[in-house]
This record gives sequence, C-alpha cells and structure tokens, in this order.
Amino acid sequence: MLKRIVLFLCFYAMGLLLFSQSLPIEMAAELAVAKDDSSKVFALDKIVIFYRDRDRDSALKYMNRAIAICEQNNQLLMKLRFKNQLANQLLGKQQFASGYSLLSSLLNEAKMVDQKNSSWLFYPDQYLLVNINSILANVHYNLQILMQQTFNWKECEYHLNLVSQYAESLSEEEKNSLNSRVITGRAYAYLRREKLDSALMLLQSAENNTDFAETFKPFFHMVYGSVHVARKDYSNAKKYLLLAILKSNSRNVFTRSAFKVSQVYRNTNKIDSAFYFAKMLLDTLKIFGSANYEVDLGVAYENMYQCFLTMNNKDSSFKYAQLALRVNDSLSALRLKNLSEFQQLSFAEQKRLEEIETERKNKTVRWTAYLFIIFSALIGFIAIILFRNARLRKKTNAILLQEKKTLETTLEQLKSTQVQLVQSEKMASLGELTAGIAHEIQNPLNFVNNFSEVSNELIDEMKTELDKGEITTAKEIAKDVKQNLEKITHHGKRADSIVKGMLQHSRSSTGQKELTDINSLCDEYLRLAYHGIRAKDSSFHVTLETDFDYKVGHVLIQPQEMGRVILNLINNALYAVGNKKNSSNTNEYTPIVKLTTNRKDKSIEISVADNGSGIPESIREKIFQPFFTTKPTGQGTGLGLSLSYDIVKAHGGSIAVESAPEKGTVFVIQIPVS
Amino acid sequence: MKILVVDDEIDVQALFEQRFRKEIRSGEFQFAFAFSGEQALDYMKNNHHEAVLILSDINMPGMSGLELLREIKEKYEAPPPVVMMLTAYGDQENHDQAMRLGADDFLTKPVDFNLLKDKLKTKTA
Repeated sequence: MLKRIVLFLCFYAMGLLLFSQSLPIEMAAELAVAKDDSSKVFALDKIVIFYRDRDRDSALKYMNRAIAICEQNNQLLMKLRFKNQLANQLLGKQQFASGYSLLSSLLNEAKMVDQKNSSWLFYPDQYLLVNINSILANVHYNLQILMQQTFNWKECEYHLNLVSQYAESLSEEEKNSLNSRVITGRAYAYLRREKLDSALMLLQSAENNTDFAETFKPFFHMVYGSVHVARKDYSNAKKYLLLAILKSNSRNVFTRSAFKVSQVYRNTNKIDSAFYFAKMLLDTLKIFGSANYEVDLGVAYENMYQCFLTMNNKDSSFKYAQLALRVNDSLSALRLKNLSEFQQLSFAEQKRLEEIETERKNKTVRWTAYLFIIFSALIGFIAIILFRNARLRKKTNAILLQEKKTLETTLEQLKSTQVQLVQSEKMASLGELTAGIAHEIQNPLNFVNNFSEVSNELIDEMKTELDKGEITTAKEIAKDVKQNLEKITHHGKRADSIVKGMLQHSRSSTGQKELTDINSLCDEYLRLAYHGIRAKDSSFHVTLETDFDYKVGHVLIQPQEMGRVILNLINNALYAVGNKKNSSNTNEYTPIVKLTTNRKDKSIEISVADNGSGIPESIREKIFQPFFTTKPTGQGTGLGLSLSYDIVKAHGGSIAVESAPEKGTVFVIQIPVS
Repeated sequence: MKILVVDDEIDVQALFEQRFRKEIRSGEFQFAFAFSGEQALDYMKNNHHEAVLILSDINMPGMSGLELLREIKEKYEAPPPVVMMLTAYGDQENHDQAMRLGADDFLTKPVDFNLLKDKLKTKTA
C-alpha cells in the first residue's frame, strides 16, 4: 500500500514536472545569443519542441517566428517542417478545418521544393537529415491524425500507407520511428473502430519488434492498455497503462493513460485508486488544458462524477455531474463547430476532388478517345501503306508476270530463230554448194549420156559385124559395150551419192558416227567449196593445194557434220583470199588455199590454211561466238565457226586458229582417235 | 596427128577412144591422155612437142587448164600447138580469159563430139 502511495506521488510529481510551462533558461539564452538566422532557427526549434506539448499558444508563437526567418532566407524545407508542426498544433486545438487547409497547402508546396536549395538540412543536436520525403511522411502522418479524429477511416489508412512509403527512402532511424508511429496509429484507429482483434494482433506482433522506436513506446503502451480495457482484460490493461504513465513523454499519453487507468480501477472496484487517477487527470487538464478532445475537461469531470457515484457520495457526484454537463455542452458545441467546419471543408474538398476526378476521368476518357483516334489513324495509315504495298506488289507482280511471259515468248522466239538460223546457215552453205554440186553431177551425167550414146552406136556396129560373120570383132565390141555399161552404172552411182550427200547436208544432224575416209572427205568438200565459189564468181581463181597424209585413214566421225566444218573453213579461207585479191591492185598476189591432213599419235589433224589478210588480233577471240561475222550484212549468218566449234567439241576434239596479219590464217582441227 | 587430151576425169580416155574409134582405127587421129596440167607438161617435154593439138579441161586440181594454156603458149617456140579449152563453165569471162591467154578454141561441156570431130579435122588439116 505504501509502495503504491509512493508510486502515485511519483506519478503526480512527474506529471507536474513534465508539463512545467516555464521555458528553461538555457533555451532562452541560446536564442538570445544566436548570431545568425540559422542558429536562431535551431534555437527556436528546441523551444518549439519544449512548448508543443506544454503550451500550444507559445509553441505556435515560436513556430511562426521560425517560419518567418526561414521565409526570409528562402529555406523552404525547414519552413515546411515548422509549418507541419504548426498544423499538428492546430489539430491538437481541434481546429480541423484550418489544420486540413494548412496540410493540403503543404503537400502542394512540397512539390515546388528543390532539395538542393536547402542548406539548413541538419538538425544540430540530432543530426536528422531534413529531407523532402521526411517532411512528406510527417505531413501525411498529421493528415492521418486528422482523418482519424474526424472518423474518416479510409483516408486515415490511405495516409498511413503513404507515411510508410515515404519512410522507405529515409535513414534507418527515421524509418523505424515513422513505422512505429504508423503501427501504433493504425492500431489506435482499429481501437476507435472497435476492431479489437485486429488492433490486438497488430500490437502483439509489434511488441517484440526490436526496431520499434523507444520514443513511441509510451504511446504504444497507452494504446495497448486501452485495447485491453476495451476487451475488459483489466490486469493487462493496468500493466500497460501504468507502464505508459511511468514513461510518458507527452501530455497526450499521460492524460489518456490516466483516464483509462482510472476507468480500470473503477471497474475493478478499486475506488481509491480510481479517484486518485481521476483527480490527477482533472488537475493536469485544469492546469495545462487537454491534449485531445477524447480526454478533455468534460471527460475528466464525468470520470470524477462516476467515481463519486461509485463511492455513493451524492453531493460530490451531483456537483461533478453538473460540471461535466456544462463543460461537455460548451466543449461539444466547440467540437461540433470544428467538426462541421471540417466536414464542410472536406465536403467542398471532396466535391473539388470529385470534380478533379471527373475531370481526370473525362481527361482519361478524352485521352483514351484521342489515343484511340490516333491509334486508329495509325492503324489506318499502316493499313493504307500495306494495302498500297500489296497493290503495288500485285501490280509489280502482274508487270513482272507480263514481262516474264514476254521474256518467255522472246526466248521461245529466239530459240526458234536460232534453230532457223542454224538451218539457214546449213541452207546457205548448201546454196554455196549448189553450183559445185551441179558441176559435180554434171560430169557423171555427161559420162552416162556419152557412154550410152556410144554403146548404142557400138550395138549397131556389132550387129553389122555379126551379119558379116565377123564373130571375133563382134565379141570385142560386146566387151566394150559391157565396159561402157559398167561406166554408166559407176557414174550413175556417183551422181546418186552426190545427191544423197547434198540431201544429208541439208538435213538436221541425227547422223550416226561412221568410219570415214578423212582424206576423201576433205577432197570432196574442197571440190564442192571451190565449185561453189566459182559458180558465184566465175572470175575467181585460186590455187588449191592439198597435202594429204595417207596414214590418216578412216576415223569414226559423223561425216556430214565434219564435212560441214571442213566446208565452212574452206569457204572462209576462199572468202579471205578473195577479199585480199579484190583489194590489191597488182596482179602479184596469188591466192592460195591449202588443205592438209596429218596423223598424230592419238589424233588426226585437218588444217585449212590461206594466205589472206589474216584475222585482226582484236576480233580473234570473238570469231567462235555465235552471230559474229565480218561479212557485210545479209551475207553471213555468223554461225559458221560457232557451229563448227560445237561440232568439233561434240567429237571430243578442238579447233585452233593461228593468224598473222597480211600473211594468212591457219585453222587446225584436232580429232582424237582411239 | 597427135592430140593430147588433159582432164582429171580418167574415164575421159575410154570415152574418147570409143568416140573416135573409127578415126583411131583409120589412123586419122592419135590420142594421148594426161590427167592433170602437170602430167600434160611432162608429156610435152618428154615427147618433143609431138602433139599438135591439146584439148584441156579447165577446172582441175593443182594446175588448172588456164595455167597449162599460159605455160604452153608462153614457153613453147613457134608454132605453138593448137590448144582448145573444154570446160563446164562456159561463161563469158572464162571464155575471154582463155582467149586472152591464146586459146585457139573454147568448147563447153557436155561435149558435142560431132562438132569436136569437125573442129579437130579443121584445125589439123
């Protein structure tokens, strides 16, 4: 019992000491000797901290002074810090409307602050970094208090979350401090909403948290105790509430705890203790005023009234009941006034916010519409481009297809033209041959005719001799006739083979290879070529020389094809010497074309040499190309050498050319023999 | 009278011998044959200008009839043998060239042997 009395006395003394209103002399001195504005502000800060829980009006006075100095020095961060503390004081005075206006304006001002412009960032004693996020966290914490006191739970939770968010970027110490306040604040809100389980769970989990800031432990214990009171767990309630009072560092914690602990004692029928705390609460409030409207003078009077009622002291209970009614009337009126002011403001604000929201929504809708239009336009644009591309591609494809068809047609035409040209080359060489062939046929035909005529005469003679009985003479004549008939047959066949050769020459080559007498083939075509050119130009004279190697013998070739090659080379040679003859004025030039055959080890060679003007170096490489010709237009197809090249290649052979200007040209065909 | 016939067709000999068999038998004509210009010149050299009349083809491999004509007319002393040209190419230019070189006559193939017989008789008369 004595212990309890001592403890109670201790509480009482502490309460008086804690809330002593006179400014400590060293604080006043520091402000007085401060040389510059920054020192003054730091001195004022300490004074503000001293007063803010003791004397709101003094605190406000010094705060305004500090704000003015910050303003002069353009110290925006420090100014916001003081303004935020000022807002906290307004909330303590239940001036919700003005507090709300101030806090809202702080949020806007905070947006303008550039951290770099603030030099008074350090708080000399505590070295707390005053930074914009720290200020924002504290602004939102005050807003949370406001919302909690005005029963706006949703907003309360919203601001608590923001405090946690801003705390994240701060120093470990400040973060822990803020988080501790958030936890306690949230738990207190649960308590006021009578969500006791949620509150209890939150507090239990935070109780053993080592990060919990020591400064907020008393507040935490007060809330914890209050929760237990609400749950009618009076022993736990008493434990936490007494702990809160013992360590209480603010009037707010002290008065609330005192009120609650008085309630606990009343409910546990410890009227003396209940009365003691009720009286202490009342004295404290009478001297310092209330820290919040939940525990104000009216509440204290009512508590006294309840105590006396329990003690059955009717006079005193009646007295306090009257006091409570009167005070509560005026306090309630004030509170109602403040609350309605705030409601009006917040209603206006809500309306404004709603408008902003609507505007934002409209804007969003508008933007969505714009975006949609832009997007559609973009899609349309892309679609148009794609469409155009597709159409262009289609068009291009159509053009390409057309061109392809044209090219195919052209190619077909070229192919058929080539076939025709090859044919016409054959026909041209045939044309050149015609005269020669005619001549060649003429000779055997003459023989056939002559031998027939002579034989006819001989038969007549033979008859005469037989009539005369000259059998021997008749027999001799008969022998001659027989010989003539053989000659007729021979020359008939000769003509026949010439015609056949001519026909073969004009036909497309399907000829099989056969063993061919190369020398006679060469001779045959030399004659054909010569007679051909003579038929065209009867004045043309050329010395034809042959040097045939009898060892060449028979070689497996396509005779018509190879004959065509030989003929072509000879014709070219004749053309070359003819040209030189025509262009030379003297008679000294004797055109010579020489045809030579040679047997080599594994091949035979046929060479055609002329003593014409030679092939100029510049065109020597082109002479085997199709359609290349030096003859005037219409006189040569330009396919002769090209075809010859192909034919010799098809025989596995080669065709080479040597030429010296003004001396002549030699073409050498080489054909391998096995 | 000796007549040298120059032609690259060997059967010409058989033909002439039969066509002129009566004249040969009667000894009116004597024939010699050469199958190229070169052979003809050799014959002339070896037989001391025995032949008084030469009948030559023009288109022959190697030395042509015209070259033979020139050789004979240029190299043999007077009187040079009578040279008659026989050719399949009876064109004017060929004819003119033969005449320029001193040909005594110009006949085209196929040979009209009756006409040739008359001409030979006239030339050798």
